[in-house]
Amino acid sequence: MEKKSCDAVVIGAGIGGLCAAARLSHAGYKIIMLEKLPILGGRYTYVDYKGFHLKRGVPALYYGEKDPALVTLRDVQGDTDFEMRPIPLPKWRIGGQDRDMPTKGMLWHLISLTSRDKQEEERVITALRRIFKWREPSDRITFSDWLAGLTDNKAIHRILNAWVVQIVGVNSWEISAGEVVRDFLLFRAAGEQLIPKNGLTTIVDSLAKVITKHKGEILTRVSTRKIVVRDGIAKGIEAKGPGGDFQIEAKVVISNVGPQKTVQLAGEHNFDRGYVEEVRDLKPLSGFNIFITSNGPLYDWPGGLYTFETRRSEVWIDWTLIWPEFGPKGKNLMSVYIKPERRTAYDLRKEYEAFMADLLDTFPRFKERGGEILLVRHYDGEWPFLRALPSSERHQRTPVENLYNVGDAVNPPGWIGGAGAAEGARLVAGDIIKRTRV
Amino acid sequence: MSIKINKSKCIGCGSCVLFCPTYALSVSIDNFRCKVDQDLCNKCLICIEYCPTESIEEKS
Repeated sequence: MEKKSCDAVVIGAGIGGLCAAARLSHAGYKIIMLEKLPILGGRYTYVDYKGFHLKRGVPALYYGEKDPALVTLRDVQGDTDFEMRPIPLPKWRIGGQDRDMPTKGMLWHLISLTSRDKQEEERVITALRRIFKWREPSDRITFSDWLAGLTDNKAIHRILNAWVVQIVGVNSWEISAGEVVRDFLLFRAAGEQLIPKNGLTTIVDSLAKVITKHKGEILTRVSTRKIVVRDGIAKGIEAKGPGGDFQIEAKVVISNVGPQKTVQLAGEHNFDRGYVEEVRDLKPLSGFNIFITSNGPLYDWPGGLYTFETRRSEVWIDWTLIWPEFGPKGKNLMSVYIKPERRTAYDLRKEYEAFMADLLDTFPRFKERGGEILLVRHYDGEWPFLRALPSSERHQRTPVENLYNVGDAVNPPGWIGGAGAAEGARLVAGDIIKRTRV
Repeated sequence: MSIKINKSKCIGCGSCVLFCPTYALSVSIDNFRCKVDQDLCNKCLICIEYCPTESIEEKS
């Protein structure tokens, strides 16, 4: 078997793996990054399909100028000389009207719209301010249970559920109160979301360039079969590529394929039973994302439209209103995130039918505008929206020494998705640099 | 030889659909699994490379 060696081997070229590899190679580490698909970026890139430029998962730099992926590029002196366009805040359809939301104080505005009287309004707002400024609430109750302690007003519950779904993608009764607050505070501190020219592929390409500039190797179409562990220490990997099987010896192994797969690759017997169960209990976020095309916009402001008084909560965004290049001339491209009825065991067909009914209710001129479904996608299992919600930073270091996880299952508290994976990668790279010397 | 999609592994992510050069693949809205139109399929096997759940096989 061919043998290679390096300082750090990175399994998976998602945004977490790319950021870890870029930071370490910039710090002088010899990196080999392995990706089983023919392309890099995983759920953090864009691809071309029938003349449209489609996001695979993450659409934009979620935290704007402060986004960890952008910060990574700056830290490693990668190319950041590309245009970026902001995604304005969506309008909310409430009572059939499409309303602008204030950029500051949106939450207070939602509560003032739905409170029965001034006392209730003040009580709810005061309690929210306290959990934002003084101390986050418990993780042992859901956000909706926390709110039920303040009011039984169904309108407030409904609109705050809509607020929660918009930030974290799940209902307020499906997530802890503490998690909602952590995610919201980080999200609120960021500026507008930004889309680079050509989408997030630009970020992926810039990071890959940094890695190869520092003589790192990036190998695609390579499937890692085993993480080699001896005496509780990670020693490298075994993989299969187009040229056959090979081994890589490394001081550090960084896995970007999710903690569950990491355990499988290294062998369950190398972890204590408690850890294996913890990893099995990580809950992914599943759901749907559907691409719709039309001959002209289905709504006429840049940004998005948020509908929550429909059968399902949906965030609709027309990408061609921000980057016309994302579709052929005269065509508009919209995508919609659909929040299923429940987190697991939902009926796929029933969800799709609910969505189709919502589509025609929300855009009555859909057919008239040449509206078509371009692509329907379901996220789950190996290709989820998020590998774990809430994420678990504790799983960045694994029980196996020098075996790390990066990726959206192990984001630091409050950080969501791909941006969070980039932030987690910063911490992991920092930990590696502190502990090892090259 | 033909392409076969393992319905118990496929999650309907549509990755294969995005990369198929002959548009032979699509996501079924009946069961949210990917399906192949064998008449359009040119057996290039690109879909197998792009499937993140390794749900596509070559069958003789």
